[in-house]
Amino acid sequence: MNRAQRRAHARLWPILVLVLLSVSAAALVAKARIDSAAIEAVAVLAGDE
Amino acid sequence: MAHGYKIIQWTPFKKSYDAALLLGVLVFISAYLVGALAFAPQGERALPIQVALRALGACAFSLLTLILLIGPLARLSPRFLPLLYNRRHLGVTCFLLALIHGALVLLWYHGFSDLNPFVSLLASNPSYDSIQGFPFESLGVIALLILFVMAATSHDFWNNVLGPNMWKALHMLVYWAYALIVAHVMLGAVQGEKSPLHAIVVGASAALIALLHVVAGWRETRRDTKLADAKNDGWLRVGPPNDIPNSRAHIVTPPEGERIAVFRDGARIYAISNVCRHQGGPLGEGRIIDGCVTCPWHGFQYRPQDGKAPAPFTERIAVYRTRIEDGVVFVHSDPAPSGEEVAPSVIAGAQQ
Ligand code: HEM
Ligand code: FES
Repeated sequence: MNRAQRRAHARLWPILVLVLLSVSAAALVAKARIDSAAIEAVAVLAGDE
Repeated sequence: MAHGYKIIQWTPFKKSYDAALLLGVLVFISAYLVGALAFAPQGERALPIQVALRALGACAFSLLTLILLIGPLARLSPRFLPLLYNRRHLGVTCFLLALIHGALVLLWYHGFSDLNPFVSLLASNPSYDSIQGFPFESLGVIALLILFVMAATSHDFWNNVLGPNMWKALHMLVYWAYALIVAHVMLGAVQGEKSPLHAIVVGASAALIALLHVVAGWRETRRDTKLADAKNDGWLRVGPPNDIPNSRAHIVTPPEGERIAVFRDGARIYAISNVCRHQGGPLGEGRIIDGCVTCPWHGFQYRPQDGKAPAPFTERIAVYRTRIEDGVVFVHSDPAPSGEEVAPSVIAGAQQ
């Protein structure tokens, strides 16, 4: 790689790391919320019986 | 590829590379099919067509992860350099797998509605403002388009048409494609699955890719800031000639311009630009084969005395003057006039 390409990589990766981290975190949080809501719903249903 | 380059010398397993790739793809898909069809709990078993399209998506993702591992691994250790050789075959295979994956999704999930399948794919779920129900398919579509452009321009014809810098800039889109696919899976399959397997595999793959790129990039930046000792007159200190292994090079970083590769061929010392004309491969990590410096990435060759590729090829790189003084090699940071032959420095008392 020449200097310009090395610089482009060095600039790109911090941004990509942030993007990957935030997407993964947002997705996992959303999933955890839905999963716990589902567990609650099951508990409510069970309680109704 | 340069004339006279003997594949066998650099990558003895080049031919088996494609066979291994095909075998790997088949084993991966079979294992996925067997795992999902035979071992899924009763009641959660998907239809074979669904399992097949998932297997293809998973295989394309794994292949892309492997492809993106090769670059930084080869920067960190030369042991991985031979893997770079046929990386484009991996890339094209990844695109084809993803294409079949997308086509099956289109047929199976969107082929039976009254809507045009493409409209159905992109518009039937409009929750672009939510995370949980995000139409993650659209991210896959953009990634597939990027993979298509890269596969279509992967041939050297396009490298020549676009020029190596433009070509490289275009192919750096692959990192965005990877991020899009990570999001595609995190917002898609991960949300639908009970088991955390998808999240763990995709998260760990992305973390590994990011870590290796950041570490390799950090090392390169450090190398760029560790300049060679320079005298005022432009001569850079390289070190004792016999510290350079035979047929190999030491790479020095001048205060300005590209790195310089200083080669030893027996008792002769030559210096050339470290940047290959093909795609910027690090020539100083290659070696001299049949009198020509051979690029470690794809085997382009250059004569170390004038920087010209052997006929019929026409590429040319810069060459630099060297001298040996008090048992130390120096290289001048200004390239010699283009095309001019530069006499090597000869190590005193050494056998030619
Ligand atoms: C036209 C483009 C694409 C469309 C429409 C699409 C659509 C989909 C859909 C609907 C699923 C969920 C399947 C299911 O759960 O039954 C999925 C999963 C997946 N896709 Fe894509 N995708 C596309 C492109 C890609 C690309 C380019 C890649 C990677 C190179 C990819 C990798 C994956 C992976 C890894 C999964 C998860 C598979 C699993 O469950 O193990 N997709 N995709
Ligand atoms: S041969 Fe491809 S970069 Fe040198």
